Amino acid sequence: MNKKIFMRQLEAKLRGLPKDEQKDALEYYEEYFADMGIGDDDDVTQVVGTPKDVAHNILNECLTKQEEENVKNNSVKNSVKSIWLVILGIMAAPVALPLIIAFAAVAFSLFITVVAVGVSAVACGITAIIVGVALIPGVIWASGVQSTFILGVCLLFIGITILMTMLLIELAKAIAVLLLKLYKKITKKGVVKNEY
Amino acid sequence: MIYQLTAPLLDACVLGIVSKEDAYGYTLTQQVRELIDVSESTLYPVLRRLKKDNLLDTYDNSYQGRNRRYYTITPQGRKKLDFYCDEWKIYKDKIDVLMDLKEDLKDE
Repeated sequence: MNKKIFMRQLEAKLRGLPKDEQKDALEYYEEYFADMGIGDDDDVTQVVGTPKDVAHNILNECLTKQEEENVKNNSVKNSVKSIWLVILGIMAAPVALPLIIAFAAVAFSLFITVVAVGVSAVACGITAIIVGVALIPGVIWASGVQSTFILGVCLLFIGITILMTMLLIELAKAIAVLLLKLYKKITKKGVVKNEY
Repeated sequence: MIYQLTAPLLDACVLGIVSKEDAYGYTLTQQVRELIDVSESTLYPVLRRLKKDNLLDTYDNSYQGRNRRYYTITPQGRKKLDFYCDEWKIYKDKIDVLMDLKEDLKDE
């Protein structure tokens, strides 16, 4: 593969990364090839490997960094970033296709689980809030013990909704961390071969 | 080579090279490759990581009408290198003792 195609493919593989990150990597390799005296039409895969390998090394480094970041601060934003990097990594992974398919299947089912739980939780939440709010007028017509009871039920429903939402967010974050770990485990063999 | 160069060791090697003299990607890689068999694409992620961690800094110089990015060690980088060196000596001594290259840890 000549340098021109290599650079184009590398650019495509890194597209999901932040802009400055992409630019930095591409400039590095552009400069590296120039220092080696390699022209646009010379073969470069003999020298640095395929764009896939190179992109994979870079993405893997991003993943390791993200893992540290997750340990420090496990926020929703970091979870989303983790999943995104895993997706990019899968696309550039030099592991065998069956493994990718297996991993994609696991990732997909986990994703569906989260979405399903999420949708039902939100549905329950909305129902709870509607019921809660709908019952509030009841407080006005009811009297004494009854109104206190109804008000309690309303608050209970609203409270459950908030708790469920929090639980769901935690669950989603845990799954993101899990996915990242799983991904690293699966690709480890391929990485060692490529990296050193 | 049958022994593997793991991430911290590779970090230490790169910091060691740059601590002597500022270097750019190509020369850095060649210096490592002169002694140890690593692929040409090994060092970019390492340099990126070290820069992110503020152990290395970069500056650009123009060379024959194009850009060349030099890596230079930061004060934190020097500290980290000292740490890596100490850790390496401790580790190396232990392995030496176990492999019977050395009598015990106090021997010099």
